[in-house]
Amino acid sequence: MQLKFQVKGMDFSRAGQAATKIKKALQLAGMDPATIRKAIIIAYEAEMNIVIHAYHGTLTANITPHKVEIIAEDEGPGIPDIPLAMQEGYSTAPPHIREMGFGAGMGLPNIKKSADELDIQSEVNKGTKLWAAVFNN
Amino acid sequence: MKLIDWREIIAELELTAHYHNALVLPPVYGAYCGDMMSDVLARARRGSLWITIQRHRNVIAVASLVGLSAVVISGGRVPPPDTVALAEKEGVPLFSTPLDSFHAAGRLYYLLTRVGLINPTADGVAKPQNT
Repeated sequence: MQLKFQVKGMDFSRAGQAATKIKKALQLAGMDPATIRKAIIIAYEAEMNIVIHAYHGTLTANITPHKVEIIAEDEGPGIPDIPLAMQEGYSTAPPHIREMGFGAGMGLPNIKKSADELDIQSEVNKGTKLWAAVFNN
Repeated sequence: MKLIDWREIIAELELTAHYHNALVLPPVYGAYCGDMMSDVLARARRGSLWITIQRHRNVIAVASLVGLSAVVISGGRVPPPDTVALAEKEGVPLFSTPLDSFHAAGRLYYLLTRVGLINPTADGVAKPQNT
């Protein structure tokens, strides 16, 4: 099963909706609760990264009995230094975003901790593609 | 397992409810304090009550994703209508309290300890909830 959502930059009113729908689909599919938790952490953080940093993008979930793939593709500023962005506490989010409780520099580290496999490709001034997989044990 | 009566939580934490329907309040097994969405998403346990100063609608998205029992907005802050509306839609019980996060958590800690849901000598080390 594939679920695909459009995500708009700076649209905080709908932020989190894609991840919520993915969670419901995973529950209906009878996935293990630990798999669901990992997958929704990845989906939510990836969705918020598009909302906070990119112009627009898509969030896709490919769900099979053994694996959940989360793919976030965006058009945006890109990530100049991926290893730096993966460091806990590093963030480029502006102050008004931080005041809402985002931009703590935990998003990508949370994704890394939750993903069994992860690949991030990014091009400055073009966009970012994140691919993550969680195996359903 | 013993549980705390919601009437006791509401009285002790001086809660005001911000939901209109006849929502069945889920059991509270613990609590988490946090104002950073990523922190709560990664570390709060299912079935916990969440105490936060944040009141925007993404709080409801995170609470729903984690499977939290309820959200308490602290410090006399009141949720805006769009947050209340999303909480209704998602079935997340939403409250506010005049207490600050420390005192709200302190009173709840006492209640949870009394019924044995918290072991003061063993609990409290934060750990990711994704394993």
